[in-house]
Amino acid sequence: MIRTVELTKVFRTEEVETTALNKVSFGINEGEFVAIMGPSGCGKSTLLNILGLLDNPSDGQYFFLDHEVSGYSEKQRANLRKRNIGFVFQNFNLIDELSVFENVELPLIYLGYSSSERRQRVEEVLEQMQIMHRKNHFPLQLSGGQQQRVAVCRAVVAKPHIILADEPTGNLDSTHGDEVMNLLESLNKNGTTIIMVTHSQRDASYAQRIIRLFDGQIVTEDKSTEFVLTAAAAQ
Amino acid sequence: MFSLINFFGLATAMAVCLMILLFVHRELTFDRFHKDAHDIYRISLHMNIQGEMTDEPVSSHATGPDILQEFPEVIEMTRLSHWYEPVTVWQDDNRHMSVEFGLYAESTFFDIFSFRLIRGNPQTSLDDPFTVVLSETLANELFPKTDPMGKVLRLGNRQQPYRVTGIIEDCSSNTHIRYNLLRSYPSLLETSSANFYDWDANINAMTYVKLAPGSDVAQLKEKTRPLTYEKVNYKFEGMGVNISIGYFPITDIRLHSPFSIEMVETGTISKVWIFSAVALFVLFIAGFNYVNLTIAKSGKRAREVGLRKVLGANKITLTTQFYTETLLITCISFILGLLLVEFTLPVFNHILDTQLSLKDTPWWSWLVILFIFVGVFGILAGIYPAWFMAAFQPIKTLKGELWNKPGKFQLRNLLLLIQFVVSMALIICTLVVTLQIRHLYTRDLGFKSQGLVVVETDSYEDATLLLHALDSYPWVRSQAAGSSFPGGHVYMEGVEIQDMEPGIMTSRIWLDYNYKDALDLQMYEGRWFSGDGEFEAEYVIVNQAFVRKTGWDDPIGKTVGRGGYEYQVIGVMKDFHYQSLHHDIEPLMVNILSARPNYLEMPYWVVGNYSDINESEVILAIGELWHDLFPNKALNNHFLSEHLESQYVNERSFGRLFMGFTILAIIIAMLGVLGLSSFIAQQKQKEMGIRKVLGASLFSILSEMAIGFVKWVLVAALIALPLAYWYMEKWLAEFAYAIGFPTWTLLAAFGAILILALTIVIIQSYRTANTSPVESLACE
Repeated sequence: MIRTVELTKVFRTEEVETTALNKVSFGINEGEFVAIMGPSGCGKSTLLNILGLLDNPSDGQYFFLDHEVSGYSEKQRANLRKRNIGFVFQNFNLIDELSVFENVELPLIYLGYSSSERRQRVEEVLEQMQIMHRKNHFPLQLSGGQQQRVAVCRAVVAKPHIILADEPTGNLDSTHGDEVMNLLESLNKNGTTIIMVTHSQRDASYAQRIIRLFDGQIVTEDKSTEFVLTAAAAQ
Repeated sequence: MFSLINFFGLATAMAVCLMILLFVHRELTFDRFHKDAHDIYRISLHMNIQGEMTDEPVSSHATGPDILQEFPEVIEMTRLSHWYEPVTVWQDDNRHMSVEFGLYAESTFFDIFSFRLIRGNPQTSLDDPFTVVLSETLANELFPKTDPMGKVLRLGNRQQPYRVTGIIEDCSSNTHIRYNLLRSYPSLLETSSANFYDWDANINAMTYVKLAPGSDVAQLKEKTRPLTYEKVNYKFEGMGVNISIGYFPITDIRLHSPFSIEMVETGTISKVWIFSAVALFVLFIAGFNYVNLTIAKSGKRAREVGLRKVLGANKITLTTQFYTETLLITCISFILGLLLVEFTLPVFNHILDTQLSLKDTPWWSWLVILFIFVGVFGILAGIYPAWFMAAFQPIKTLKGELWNKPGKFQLRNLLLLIQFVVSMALIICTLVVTLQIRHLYTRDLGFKSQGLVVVETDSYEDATLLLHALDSYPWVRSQAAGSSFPGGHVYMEGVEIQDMEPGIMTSRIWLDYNYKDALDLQMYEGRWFSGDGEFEAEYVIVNQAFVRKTGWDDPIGKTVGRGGYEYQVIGVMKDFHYQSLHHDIEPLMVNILSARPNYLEMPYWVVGNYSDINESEVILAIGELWHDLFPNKALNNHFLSEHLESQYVNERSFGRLFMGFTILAIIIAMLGVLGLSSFIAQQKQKEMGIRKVLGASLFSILSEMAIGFVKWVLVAALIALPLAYWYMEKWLAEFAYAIGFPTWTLLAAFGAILILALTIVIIQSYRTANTSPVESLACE
């Protein structure tokens, strides 16, 4: 489903050139749950931005659903993105001026759904995520866990193939964090591919595979269970 | 870029305010530089003729001396005469020039007014007949390298020799009096054949009196009543005519003159108010735009604030820092504004017909103004952004969260609305005023106004000579002479009407036989003069307005009496605009020119109807012809069309004024749009990022931004359009001949503001909207 070949991203300022990603190659199959880990500044978020079609690589190839997209324009990427990818952010990124319902509705508006279809889809997903009773509230009236649940609703409402989650529990306490991880797990069980960037080993343990980055390069790729076992053994 | 717009906006606003300050100061201080200005009054004449009131700023030459003699509180008196026509100044070698404002004045001129005599004795220089005092500039022009004192000049068409007895400083522009040379008053008495000691003759002296401090003017006016009766009113008893004398303070002449003639065009107090309001409005809006732009820009400084706070700065130190920055920016803008004023004053002067100059104001007063501007402006525009920025919370700002959530209706929206309203209303006013002026220029006046040249002669003989000479030029199609020309001066006279008591007031002119064809005047009924000089003197031709006023059913054969003569009506002309379009067409009677009493010493105007030749060739040919015919007389000629246009100088200046305000208002409003849209774009940067991640197109993001502004343009239209419509209808009603209100101007103003605002919003939002969502969200 996703394949990268020697993906490279270089940031240039007038004086400094920083290589955020250095020839990163890997693949992700449909239905997988993959965690990307690594210390701060290792290139996790850069990788996620490229995978999420928010940014282009400086070099290398990126195959998304069998299309080579590394040279796509913003418009082409946006088109591909809105149909296939849902996003969950660490700080939720809900629009404060819009209600829960309106926030979840946004992707459907941009996909051109009719208003009755939108209503149906949004209510369905709010029901599913058990946040229906809050549909007329505004984000600032909700707890962090509830906000992230709304963000997940928004990510899945258009039924994307992939969900990209960037530290989805980073701003939540452990109870709410677990709640969100369980949500993602159940989505994955229903067939959605999930790619998640995280610092948390606990969250990573939900994934089937972990890609570990260091200084812009992949250092290991392992099954999450093995990793957990190794970590446990090391303790 | 931001700073540039900010500086530019502020400096422009300051410049506008400074110019208006100069203007208002000048208007309010008119004529106040004279010593005891508040005790100086001009005698005015108020005539009630059968219920019709006329107010004149002039009186007879006898009125002043009689009042001075009669009332002890009148301590000084001086008279000015003949300000209204230029005087020809002849030099030794027969060179001559026409000089405006060659007044007759008395020695007491220098006692009452504070004009300074540079050479000569103010007590005596105007005492003897045929002496003259020259303005400094004129003296230098006439006697470039020699001492003018004692030299002899010849003045007027009679070339009367005058001896130079003084040099006076050039007339300042902030007084209602104008002079270039002063002829001694006794010269006027010597040359005049008319009786100067009657209160109802030669009513053309501007008479000024100085009252003893603390005198009661109302009481003086009351006391003058019996004197007026004794001198003049007794003659009119039972005729429905009454004359009364008024005392008008000279300090009120500039802004409150009710008189239709003045030496210098007057201003109005409403203009002063309007300008002051504009200045305040401009400053207010500039402050508001400054605040918006500064806050929009403050995002970039949020981290700085956060860091400073982490490092120990408190709110007061930060507020002080930002406030000081505003003060500094205001100071620099003020100086830029001053420079801008210096460069644009000529344009402003042209628009308002003023001679404002920065140099008239002492340097220290600019420091005071700077202090006030910077103080007031700094307090109003500086405090809020300073407080706003200083209140950033360090944790949030270091994380990049700074904007308060926008409310539904905010002060800035209201201000933006006001700016839209003002711009739209002004666009409409400018268009309507321009259209109305064009209408005045192009309206059918009832006579031929193009291709006519008008030449002044001073006797019937001269006029006849010129008419004959013009015959030999192939490009002269016809020529005629009259006592006036359309738009020229006409005399009002009371006439007796057959079978009607009392008579009516009518304008009266004398025209020759050819006049009707030369100007293409049309007859309504009856006939024009026959050209047979013998009996024509007994006939009169009237216009339709005359017939309407008299109510005659069959005017031909009726009689009109004047001064013991009876004239028989032989024809009725179709109405034509012999006065400007400000006036309705009033009754007019025409006599044959050859019957005009010659002793009046009034000018005779020769009108030449030309074709197949351009204007400069006409001027050249007339000049040569004139020089051949009258080598010792000065030529005064003009084109009729130009003269007619000059009647609407006020409207044109009004139009230019509106144009200026409109451009200004649009610039300011668009700066406001720029400030607000960049503020909102900054505020919504994150939202735009989120929307883009979710698949929003650039178009949908831009339209979202645009709708926010379109809404306010629509509301503004609802207020501005009816307002402008109402005001312009009122303005148009002042004209006897007005266009109907052009409704398309409403749409044009709305469209112009909408398009301008949209363009700015879209350009401004484009950058933010086009930023990669990664960057937009990176501030998290």
